[in-house]
Amino acid sequence: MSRAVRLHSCQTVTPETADQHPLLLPAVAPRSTRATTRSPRRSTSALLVAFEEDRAMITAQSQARSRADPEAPMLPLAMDAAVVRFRKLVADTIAAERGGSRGADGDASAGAWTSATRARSPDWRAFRSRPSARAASATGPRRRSACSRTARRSPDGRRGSLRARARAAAWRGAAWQPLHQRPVLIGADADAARFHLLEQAGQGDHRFEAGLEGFEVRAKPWQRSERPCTRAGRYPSTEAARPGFNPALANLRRAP
Amino acid sequence: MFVRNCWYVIAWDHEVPAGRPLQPAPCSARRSCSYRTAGGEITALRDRCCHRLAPLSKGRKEGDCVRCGYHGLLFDATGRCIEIPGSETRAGEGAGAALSAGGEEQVGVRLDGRPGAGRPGAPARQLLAATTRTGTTCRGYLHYSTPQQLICDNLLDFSHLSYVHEKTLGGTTAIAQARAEIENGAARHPVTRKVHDVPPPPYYRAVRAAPGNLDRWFIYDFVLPGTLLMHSGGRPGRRRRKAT
Repeated sequence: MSRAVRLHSCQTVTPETADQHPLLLPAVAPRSTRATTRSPRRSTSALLVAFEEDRAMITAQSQARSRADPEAPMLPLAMDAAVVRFRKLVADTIAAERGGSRGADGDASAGAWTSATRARSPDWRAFRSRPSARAASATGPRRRSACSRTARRSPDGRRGSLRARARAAAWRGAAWQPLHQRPVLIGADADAARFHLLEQAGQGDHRFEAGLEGFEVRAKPWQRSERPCTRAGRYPSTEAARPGFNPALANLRRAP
Repeated sequence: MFVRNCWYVIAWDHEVPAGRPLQPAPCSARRSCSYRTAGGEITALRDRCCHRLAPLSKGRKEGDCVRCGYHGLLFDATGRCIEIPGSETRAGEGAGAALSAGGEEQVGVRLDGRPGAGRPGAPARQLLAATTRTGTTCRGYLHYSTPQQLICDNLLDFSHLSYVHEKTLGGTTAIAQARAEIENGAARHPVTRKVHDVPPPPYYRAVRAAPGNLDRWFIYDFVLPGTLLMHSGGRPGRRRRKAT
């Protein structure tokens, strides 16, 4: 490492208003172990050029989205894995906070939040009670909550079993999506499905994200009537004519 | 919609000097107003009076308290309203304007008002301390008029270096082609991306980089609510090391 160049950087985004977000640049420290930097001012200004490049691109992206269709779906790709995971982390944390289940000493940045705390959230408990919640996590173990096995009547005296109420609640969460965009129709990868649906729902709507937990979001064989593509790879005319139809997404769904 | 149970950085330590008149934080999460108490502690209040929502930063400090400049309600350093002019009643606990605040290098607030564990931006402060010992440090702000999520997306995916920063930090399309390794964490996802034997980016000319191809690495960690910690660098590529 005698001739290595190292760059340490720390940036933090702080929301100011709904659409004003200063990006704080606490520390940007280029360093060459071979010698000191030639000119600190020059290296710093070169970095600022890079930050400006980012800002120009993001601003243009934001304007393009608002000009066209802010709810237009993005195409999730493999390179978005970190984005997908972080969005899910944020959505889960917000959902947990809304449930009021976090302890006074809990600190999200310290990683104190656990699935046990999430299970105390009323919404989460309700969605878990649905049998198809086994697919809430594509990687998680298959299990049923105790209430779905035993409770036929609601303990609080309301009509309907917990299962039925959970199903109804989950469907209410997704009912404002067109039928063909419901989670059961989304393809191969659970994270990609969540990402896509979060985009559809509009930037991390925790209600919809919570609703997803009760659905089949893992890979699921297509029903014949649900297939967006024929075997020959053509899109049925009715599908292609549907508003918001995206051939790229349809191809993605077809992938094994 | 924001995560509330987190520290948000709102200012540099030197931007909240003792004795400074009230003013809104330069970088304000939900519009806060920060100041130092007589004991030197940093405190932050939501920058609006519970009465008519006038900004408290337009008021004045009275000891460790803040008096609203509109109708004169007095708030203590915890954000509790302790005096209402012309009234014997107190607004009570719930009517305050409290935000938790604290900090050394950076001043942070928590939107939930709870003191919480840790200090604001603890990982960032460690990095800051390390980097200021070893090299140049630039501190400042960039203001965006875009949704926060788009900024986070940018910081979370370094494949854009190849194209957005082609003439500065990138310099090669190999960065976009490299497969990123992502570790699972409770509140963070460290990402590692390595590329081998690529030409140095134009930015490296600004530092005294060795000529020839480099092996480059990008190790970064994105922590709630939106802090990126990044370590990157380059060293002479394998072929050159073998040749020498």
